[in-house]
Amino acid sequence: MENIVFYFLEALILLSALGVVLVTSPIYSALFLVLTMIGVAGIFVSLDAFFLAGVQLVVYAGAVTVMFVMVVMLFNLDKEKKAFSKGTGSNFLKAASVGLIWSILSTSLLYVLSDLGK
Amino acid sequence: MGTDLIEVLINAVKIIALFLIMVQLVPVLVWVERRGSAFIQHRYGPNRIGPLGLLQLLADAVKFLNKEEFIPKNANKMLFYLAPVIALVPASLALLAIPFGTPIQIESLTAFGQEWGPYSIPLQGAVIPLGIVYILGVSSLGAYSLLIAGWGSANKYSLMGGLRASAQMISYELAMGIAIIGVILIYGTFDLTEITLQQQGHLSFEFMDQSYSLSFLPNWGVFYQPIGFFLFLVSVFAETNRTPFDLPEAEGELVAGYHTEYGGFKMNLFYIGEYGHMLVASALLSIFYFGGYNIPYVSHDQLVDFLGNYASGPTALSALTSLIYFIVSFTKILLFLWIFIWVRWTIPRFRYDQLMDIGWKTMLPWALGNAIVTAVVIFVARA
Repeated sequence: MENIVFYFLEALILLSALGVVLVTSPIYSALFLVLTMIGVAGIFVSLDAFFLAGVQLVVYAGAVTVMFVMVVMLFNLDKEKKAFSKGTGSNFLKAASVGLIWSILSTSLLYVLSDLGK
Repeated sequence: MGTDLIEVLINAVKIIALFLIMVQLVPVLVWVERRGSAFIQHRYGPNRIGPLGLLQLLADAVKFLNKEEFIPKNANKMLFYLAPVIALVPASLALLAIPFGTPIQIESLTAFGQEWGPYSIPLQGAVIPLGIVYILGVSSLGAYSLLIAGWGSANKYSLMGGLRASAQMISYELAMGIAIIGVILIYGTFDLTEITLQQQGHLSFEFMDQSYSLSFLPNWGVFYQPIGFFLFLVSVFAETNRTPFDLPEAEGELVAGYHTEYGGFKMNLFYIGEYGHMLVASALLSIFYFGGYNIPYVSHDQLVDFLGNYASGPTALSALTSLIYFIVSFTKILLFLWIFIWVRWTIPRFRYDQLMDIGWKTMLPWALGNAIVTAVVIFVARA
């Protein structure tokens, strides 16, 4: 029973977190972020950390992400989408950020692996 | 969930019944609102269909179901359909955690060639130890439905209504949460049942090693937290988007705010969400400040003694006691719901800058001051 709940929540969190980065419309990506937060709150509940789950809902899902959604709704979304998906400047930024994240990940992996080797 | 089949079944039925109570209360409240507003404004209100206009509810329901389904051309179809459904979720989830009475104790019995029981069935959708945190967390998701509705219907009025609603909800959530801190400090628990149990009997407290007791007042939270009660009441009005804080749907400026483009059953779902929010807010007001399901001037033992004359066996006695408590708690909730309606038809709406001023410059400092003073007094009293 608990396994089913855990896998369900994990699937929810992973899928909606992927949705945050993969979906083109900023509004959907903000709403996926809400789903991710709710999933994390669910994980906290399954770990018997009820207070943390409540705070996760109040602070992150209830206040911070509402701000995101509100701000995103005020933009003219078509213009923003174009600005972020075309042009050499944004391409360079994309490549740079992917490289940065990749280097952080690989360095931390290497660090952990070399630590394990000792 | 429950340990065996009967308990699981009872719990499932209980949750469905709670949801149905919330949904079925809406037409009644709409009727009370229309008749009440007419009464307050010296009009007749709906009085033609059925006795006292009660069948107007049925006519309204039929009308809601038969309306033409309409979607604006540029609307985002998915979000447009999603918003009314989400509007139902926070209120119905929050209602689960509210205790309406003492648990029903059912003795063990033999049926279908098997021994069942003994059971203890709480008059509560789910026994949640951190009830306050749970309700705050769930009801803070209420802003999304309004935001999504406002954005999804591709209408400037709707968008402004949605933005106003969410800004207002975030602003007043602070004052509300900090007003509740006073209650949590005094009772030392997040458990709503525990808070209710601590308000039994008449007013009595200890201060600096001396105990005081006033037998003509019940031991209600409102006598310990008068400022907290007032702050909580006001911020609950803002949270439920009711007048004097109903700027999201100010018809003079925004047509109907976030539900301008909604009609028929989708509109009805928004109504159910709003009244469900009011129901939860009234229940919280009665639990925090007015003793929940406790009966003033009548102790639990007195009630059980009195009902013992009418009930045969402990199971019937327990069920009867729970029924009385359920009726008492619902009476208090209905009184607060009437206050919601009464205020709506008495007080005019604030301007938007006034709303934000009250939220951030008045309510928040007073709530903070209330929490700090309560903490200091409790520290001194128990030192």
